[in-house]
Amino acid sequence: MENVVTTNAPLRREITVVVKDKTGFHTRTAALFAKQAAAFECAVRVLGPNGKEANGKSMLGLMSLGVKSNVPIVIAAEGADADEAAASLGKLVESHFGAAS
Amino acid sequence: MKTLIGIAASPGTAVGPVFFLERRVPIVDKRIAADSAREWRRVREALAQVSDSLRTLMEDCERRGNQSAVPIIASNAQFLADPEIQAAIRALIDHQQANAEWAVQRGFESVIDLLAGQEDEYLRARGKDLAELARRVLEALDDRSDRPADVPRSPSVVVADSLSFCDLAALDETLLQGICLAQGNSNDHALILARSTGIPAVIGLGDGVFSISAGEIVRVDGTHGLIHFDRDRNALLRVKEPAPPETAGRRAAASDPWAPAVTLDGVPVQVMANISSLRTARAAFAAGADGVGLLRTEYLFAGSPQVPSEEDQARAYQEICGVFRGKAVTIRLFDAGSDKPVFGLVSPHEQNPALGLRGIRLGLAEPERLLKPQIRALIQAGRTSKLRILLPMVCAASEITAFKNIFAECAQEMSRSSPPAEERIPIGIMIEVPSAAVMADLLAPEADFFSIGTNDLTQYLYAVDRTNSSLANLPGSEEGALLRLIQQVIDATHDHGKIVGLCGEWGQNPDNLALLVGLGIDEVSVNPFFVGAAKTVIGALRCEEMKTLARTAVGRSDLREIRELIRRRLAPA
Repeated sequence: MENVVTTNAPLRREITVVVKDKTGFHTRTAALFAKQAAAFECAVRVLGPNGKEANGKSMLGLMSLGVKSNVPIVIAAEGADADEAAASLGKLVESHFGAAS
Repeated sequence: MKTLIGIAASPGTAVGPVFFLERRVPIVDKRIAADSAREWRRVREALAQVSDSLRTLMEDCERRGNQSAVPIIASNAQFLADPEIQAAIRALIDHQQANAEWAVQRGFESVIDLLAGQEDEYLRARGKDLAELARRVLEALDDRSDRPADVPRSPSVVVADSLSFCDLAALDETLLQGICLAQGNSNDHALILARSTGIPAVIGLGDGVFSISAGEIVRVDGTHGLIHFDRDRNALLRVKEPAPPETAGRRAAASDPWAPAVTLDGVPVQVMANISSLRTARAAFAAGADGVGLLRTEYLFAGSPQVPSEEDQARAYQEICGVFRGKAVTIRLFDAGSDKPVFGLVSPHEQNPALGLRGIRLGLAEPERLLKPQIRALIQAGRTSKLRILLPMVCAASEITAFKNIFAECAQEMSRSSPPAEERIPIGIMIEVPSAAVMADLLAPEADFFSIGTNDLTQYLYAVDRTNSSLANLPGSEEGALLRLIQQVIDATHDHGKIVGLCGEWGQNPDNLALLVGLGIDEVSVNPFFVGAAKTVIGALRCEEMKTLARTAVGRSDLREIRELIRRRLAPA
């Protein structure tokens, strides 16, 4: 994970990761991300290219960001478990969404 | 007996009783609902009900071994729990005091609009899934529609306006004999599933399908895009198909499938196969194909994140040539465009991808990344295998010259390290752009062979998008212009002593095959499952007779009458 920036101490955590999956945020990748984000209590926002922003727990929201392959996104988690959420979601994206390959 | 013409969406033939699949589209009125809490509770209950029904459907699919359906249904179920969708619905209830029905309809519409604005065609298409989910939620909200949708209890042909993926997955495949749709698009998930499970389907039939009465028997011909219906089952069973693939398959299996196809008066025609993988190569060889008329290399490496290396390509080509044991394998260069992107090559967004940077144009625009590795792999594979190179989307001679220069450059570089192949690799072009077809006599000296690609040629010639169901009955379907152009291309090629083949769905129809034999085609390339049938049809023809018929047909704008004549000749006595 690059650019680990901590703002506002433990409650807010922002990381930047690059979506390397060849289709970007499509049905499968958005579904996996939203499902994992929903497991945390904190709010998760995802900032895509062109300044668009979406609820990270919404598969539809993620799909509507228009994130293509090799595009950086910002994952912003805010709440009690923000640290864990950001780390876990960052890992998910970097692991190519747990692709078997 | 009545007949309707539609679009062939899944090959095969079936005869069975009609079953109308009702898809109620609830009518939604806006009411002021003072009790917002109650309306929101109704929405949540309806969402849960649809979610439960999708879960049951997934379990059913798993039990029936229909694994491919499960992830698609699962992603639909996840949409129901989506916080953005729920928030959109809830806002309408809380702020506008909308009733549950209206809030669901407008809420889903607003999120469908989010996807409709996407560049990506795949994402835009997901809007259809959402519209179908909204319909199901509205159905669940309708107290009067407690009963589950009717499904056939005995083997039937399902007739509907359109068919969603979930509709299809809910049906017992063993009872589903065929599908007839008034609308539909052959790229719909439901029809892709029908093709993979071998259920014959005809789409784009229009409202005529609703003139079928309950109790009538329907004959679905998913190979030719026709349906017939009548009360008398025997009348339908008597409908003669010139050479149904089933019987031909049996015949071919019984005798030697590799025996060459020769007309009754001794004219040979090569029957080759269109393939896209090692698996289809094996199927084609087993079916008796005389070689490969079209290997779609962009599918062979589908899903590869970058351009496959020279070594990987050479190995894959050699493997496929090995299956055909010395019979010619025609390898088409990567045929991609902005609507069919490959290997992570990012093409600029195009307003009209069908007329954009695609086929050989893309190869010539990206010689280092795309074209040269493929050429070198082909030269390498050509040292040990008999292959031919086919250029897609050629529209002028200058493109052939440009390709040949790059090819010569690669060959020269490679000859320094190892000796060149003894035989020169033939280089041919697809005739699928009308400009190339019109100038065939001037292109023939530049190419070793031609392959007429009727799918694109038809689309470009008539300016008709074949996947657009509202265009299915345009005059273009009478095909007179296509036949005349094919004749000109064949004649021009033969004047220059070159060979000409035809790949594309048009050649997979027995009447068309007969016309092509009459016009003097050297090769036809068809899907592996049609190889046996094509050989049977050719073996039953008299070339001289077909020549006369084809000459008459070329003077017609409408081929229906000629087809009728051919069918009578082909019908078993």
